Amino acid sequence: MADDAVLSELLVAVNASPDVVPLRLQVAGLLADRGRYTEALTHCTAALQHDPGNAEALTMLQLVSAALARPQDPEPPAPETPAPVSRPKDAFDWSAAEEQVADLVEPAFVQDQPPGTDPVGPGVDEDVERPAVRLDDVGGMTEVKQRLELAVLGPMRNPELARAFGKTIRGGLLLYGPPGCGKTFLARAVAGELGARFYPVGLSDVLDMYVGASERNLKEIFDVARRNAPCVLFFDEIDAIGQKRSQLRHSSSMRNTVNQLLTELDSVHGDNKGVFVLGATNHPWDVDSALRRPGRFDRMLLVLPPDPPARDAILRYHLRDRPLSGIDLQAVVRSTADFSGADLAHLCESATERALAESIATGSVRPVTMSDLQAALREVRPSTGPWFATARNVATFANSDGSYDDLVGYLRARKR
Amino acid sequence: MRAAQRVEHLRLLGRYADAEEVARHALAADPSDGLLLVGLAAVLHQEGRYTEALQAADAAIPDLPEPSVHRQRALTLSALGRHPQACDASATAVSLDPHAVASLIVHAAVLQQARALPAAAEAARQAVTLAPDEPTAHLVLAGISADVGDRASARAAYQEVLRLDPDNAAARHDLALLDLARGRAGPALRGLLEAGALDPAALAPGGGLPVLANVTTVLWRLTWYLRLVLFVSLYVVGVAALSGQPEPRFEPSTPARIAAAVVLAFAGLVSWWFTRTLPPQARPVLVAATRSDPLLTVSAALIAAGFGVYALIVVTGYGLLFLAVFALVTALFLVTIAAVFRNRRRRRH
Repeated sequence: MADDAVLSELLVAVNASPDVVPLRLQVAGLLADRGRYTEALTHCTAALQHDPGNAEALTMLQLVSAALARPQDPEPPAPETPAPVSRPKDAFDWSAAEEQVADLVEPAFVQDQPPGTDPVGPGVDEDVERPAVRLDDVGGMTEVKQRLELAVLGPMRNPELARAFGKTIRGGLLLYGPPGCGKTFLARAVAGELGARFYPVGLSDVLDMYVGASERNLKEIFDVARRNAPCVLFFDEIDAIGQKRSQLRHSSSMRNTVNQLLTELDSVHGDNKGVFVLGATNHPWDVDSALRRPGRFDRMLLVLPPDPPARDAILRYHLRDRPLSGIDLQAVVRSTADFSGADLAHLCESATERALAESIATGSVRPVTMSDLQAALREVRPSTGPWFATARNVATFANSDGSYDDLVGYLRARKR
Repeated sequence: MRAAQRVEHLRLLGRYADAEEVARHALAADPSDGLLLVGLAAVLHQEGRYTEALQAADAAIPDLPEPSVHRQRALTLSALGRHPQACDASATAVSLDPHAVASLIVHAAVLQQARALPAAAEAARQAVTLAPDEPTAHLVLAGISADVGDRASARAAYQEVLRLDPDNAAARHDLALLDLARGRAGPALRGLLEAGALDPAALAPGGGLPVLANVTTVLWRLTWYLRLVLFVSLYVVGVAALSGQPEPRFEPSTPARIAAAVVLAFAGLVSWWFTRTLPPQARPVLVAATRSDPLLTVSAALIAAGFGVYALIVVTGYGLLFLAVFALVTALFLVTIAAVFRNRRRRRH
């Protein structure tokens, strides 16, 4: 209590004399002792602004930063005895800090590399996110969600039970289907469901013109994912990164990239525990067959154009916050079979543009009406047609192992 | 250089829109960059935008007077049907570097399109001599050999392509066509199915491999044998049905029953012979191919109905039912004539 009074007095003094560095450091120390690290950090920063080379301020800054970086206990116990404001330099646990950042900070010299490791580029952990979306946020698509639950989420949530039934939780999942149908969103939702971090990887993150650079990029991506485990590593357009090697006869670098991807998936050099690999592609038939073997992308999930409930949800989302009048959403839903999510967005955009154009012309706001949507429906055609044309050939010619049974079933049901 | 490499990477991956975007973005900074222009030309060529591709290739020449530009020009001119200019361009590419295999392959392909087959074969042979492990050289030589009617050389060249590149769908497809030309319907069908499984994406419209259409051709050939069996069987079953009877009577006859059974067994043998080597995925392909051609669908239905009638004769013994087969064969004859006229009309167009 007496300390708090001292702290209050000192804070008043700092406000009165903000340029006095020792006073600020004293306040920062007291605040740190009380676990108020953010405020302590503010005072350290202010002290360093006035005296950039102040050793005591630097030490305090390191101390406070390390405390902020540490995971916080739900209820941090109050210190029984107040620690001295100024600590000797060796009080900071440098070895623990080095351990914490060992895989983040590059060794200054090549010779300092730990044996058996390759030099990797700078970390890209900032690309790793923790998605808040869940499968419940995905409108409709009940069947896809059920299959995800059965094939991936259930076994991952119940590893012991899965093992008892002889079901492995190794390997990745390949989402495939027409473009613009929500594969990426689903992948994000899977990460959200698992409470894992999400690391999306695109073609530009991997491909590099320099010899060996693409392979190094891939290795680095997997290293980052392993550091951030549990993590869903999501490869968008996996057919580009993992294209059939027979189609890459004239590009040894791209063939090597596929080889590197196989190596990383097999985790020869690293432990992929806690890393779940998801891939998305519009052309699974272009993916190298080696990538589809057990332990790699051994499960495939067809993500079709949104079903009626999903279309309803998507249309509602894209028409939100817009002036609407007399919209028969169910009629629009019925007219938009085979529309992808992107097509539906385009449809709403086109209808809105019509209403906006008329509003500008007349000078008064005219809400989006059913006639705008009907006019837009005459202009916007589903973009999934060419995909289904190819998919039909795949279902006819290349389903000897049953990989595309889902697709065959869908095409049969729709009589496409 | 970096942008040109990226364009090439994206083109190889089939990401033509992205490749074009990268190329055009980089060209905005340096509109005369020959590497970028030839990269853009290759992308536009693969998208079938030949006029734009030619403009880009032409623009690349001042900055990059190399064989690659002339090769691209030759290919695009050939695609535009400007064969003399295409041959000149490919000859220029070869003259700039006579040992460049890529130039020789393009030269051979362009000459083949211009129907200068002896010169094309010579260029292809040179390419094969210089690069015996290059499947594309063998593929071009095979195509030229097939065009000049040297089926043995063509077959050998296609087999060499498949030895070097077992997943080459084009070689598998063309080898199947050689089988079809030799009347080997079964192996042809098998080859076409394998080609389709190797690269199903190439079967889409504009994909380059008309596998389903060729499967339909093979099925016409197969149904021809069955039509022949039905036609001949009319005489056999008819004679058996009428034998020993002073006038036709609608009553069971053992000779007719036996004759119909023999016909069915023979038809079964013919069908088995031609389909015995087909892979497991054949059924959906055969169904799809049959459905893709309405006249073939009708033919197949009539043939099935004909053998169905024979099955009925086997069960009931009513030999005079062969008259129904006669009606079906007449209908088959009319359908066949319609198909012949349709095919002639298609060839003319």
